Amino acid sequence: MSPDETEALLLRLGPPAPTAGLRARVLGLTRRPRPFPVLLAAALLFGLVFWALFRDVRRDPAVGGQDPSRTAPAFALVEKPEPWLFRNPVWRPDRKQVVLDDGKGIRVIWLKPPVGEAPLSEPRLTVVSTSGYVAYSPDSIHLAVLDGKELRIHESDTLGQVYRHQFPDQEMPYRVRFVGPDLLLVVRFPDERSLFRRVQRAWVPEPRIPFEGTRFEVSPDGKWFVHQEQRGNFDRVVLEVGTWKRAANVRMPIQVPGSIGTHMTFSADSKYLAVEGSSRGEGYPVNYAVIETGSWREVLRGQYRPASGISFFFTGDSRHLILGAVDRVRAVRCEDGSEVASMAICDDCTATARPIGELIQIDCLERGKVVFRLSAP
Amino acid sequence: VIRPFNVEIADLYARHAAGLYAYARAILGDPGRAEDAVQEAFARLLEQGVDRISSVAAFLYAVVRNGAIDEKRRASTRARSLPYFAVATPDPAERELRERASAGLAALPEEQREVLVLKLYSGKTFAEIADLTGTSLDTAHSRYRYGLEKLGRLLEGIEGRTT
Repeated sequence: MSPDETEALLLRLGPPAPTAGLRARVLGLTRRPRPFPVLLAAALLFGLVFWALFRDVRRDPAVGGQDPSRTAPAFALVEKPEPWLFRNPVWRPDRKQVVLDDGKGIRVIWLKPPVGEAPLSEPRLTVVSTSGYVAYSPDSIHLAVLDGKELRIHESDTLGQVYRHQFPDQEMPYRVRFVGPDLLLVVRFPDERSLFRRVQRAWVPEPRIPFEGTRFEVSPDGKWFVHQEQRGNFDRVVLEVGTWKRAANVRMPIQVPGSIGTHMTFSADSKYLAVEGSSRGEGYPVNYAVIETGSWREVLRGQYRPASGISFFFTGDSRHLILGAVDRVRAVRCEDGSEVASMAICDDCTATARPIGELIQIDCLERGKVVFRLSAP
Repeated sequence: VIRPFNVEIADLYARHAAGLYAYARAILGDPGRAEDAVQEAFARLLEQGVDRISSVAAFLYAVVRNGAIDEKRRASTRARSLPYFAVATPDPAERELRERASAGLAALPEEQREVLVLKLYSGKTFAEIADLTGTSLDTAHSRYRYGLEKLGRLLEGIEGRTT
């Protein structure tokens, strides 16, 4: 048998594949064992929800003429659930449901009853998937579940399946999100190339739109799509969703492509886009800028030394930018760049942070999951 | 969208796990220990921090290689080796082909088998293989060629069944 024939034979036979258990083991590396049962997790989550819904009636430390900067820490701890008891809750926009990953499955938890049903005596749990990513449509009608190679759309009230798509072997679905009332973007990563496509509410896929690299964001109002070019100056290119015309080029110098100093994020009201520039590694100064969408005018520019684990995001009210620096998490006012709050983080803390409404959640390997409220004015 | 999993690890797993596993199987033979080697590589990656590693793929393959070679050395007496190619097929001719291909691959010198698997199943370039195995580009090329030639000789007589 010639070498060419041998090569062809080996290619035809193909490599052995790992078991599905390996994927679970590898993804499980980021988890810690949870000693409490799921219902206890749900109960704690219910408590957090109760607090979130009724926090406005709590006593504000600023009331009574006290200066909050004297009486309260800059970031006030408002909740400290058990570490890793529940992960990354995804809320239905009308707050009737929350989806969480408890390590055994993706569970939908009913917090309020569906229309026409009696009030719930306790949260109701439904498992929709063993793993995956989820997203609710802005009108709360649909729930998208990306489970491995399969995309499913459920009607969120009944959890009945209304659409299902199996991706081909060579394509890796990566993220799913709704933008606007009628659109679903599915982003995929075959090798180093990225594709995304729009799926209309009738669940008819549209042609795929290629873009470079793996970094992108979509504005919450669904109007803008920004991604980072992988050559030249590593510009952030903003496209208008739908027409896919180039709306802006944001140039921030990036010396070395990497994952530090390269964040992009939109504010919740889609008014601002914040980008970082320069990527030499943890602790090196990084420039950042806040840009007004539409006019693409730069409203703020600054510098900080980022930590690898802390995200770069706006607070829920879009007024402040949260910067995870190596020493402290800082809140900077978009209007004038002034630092309005800060909080020290632990040494060797690997953390991610994200806004939950008006709250800021920090997942810290050392301290567990903690939720803070920005108490500065 | 808030992501229920560590997206970065899930993405890296999707990109590299199959190639890493194929490589680990080629060294260790045993599916379970090959999976352990891949898991260990991702665990080491998390320990080190993805952001601190310039080439994640090179790191993962290096950890799998070092771990698998150590494990093979340590466990040589209790090692088991299953056929590299799955033989669960109803076609007897295809089954024989797969058994002989597995036996042929196992009979190759380790350094040749390693290059064949890295090139064909892990998608590595010869330059990457040379870096990983600590050899020159020419050596990687010649090991690949010698490996194909030797395996071809071991599989003599099954021409016509390769497609």
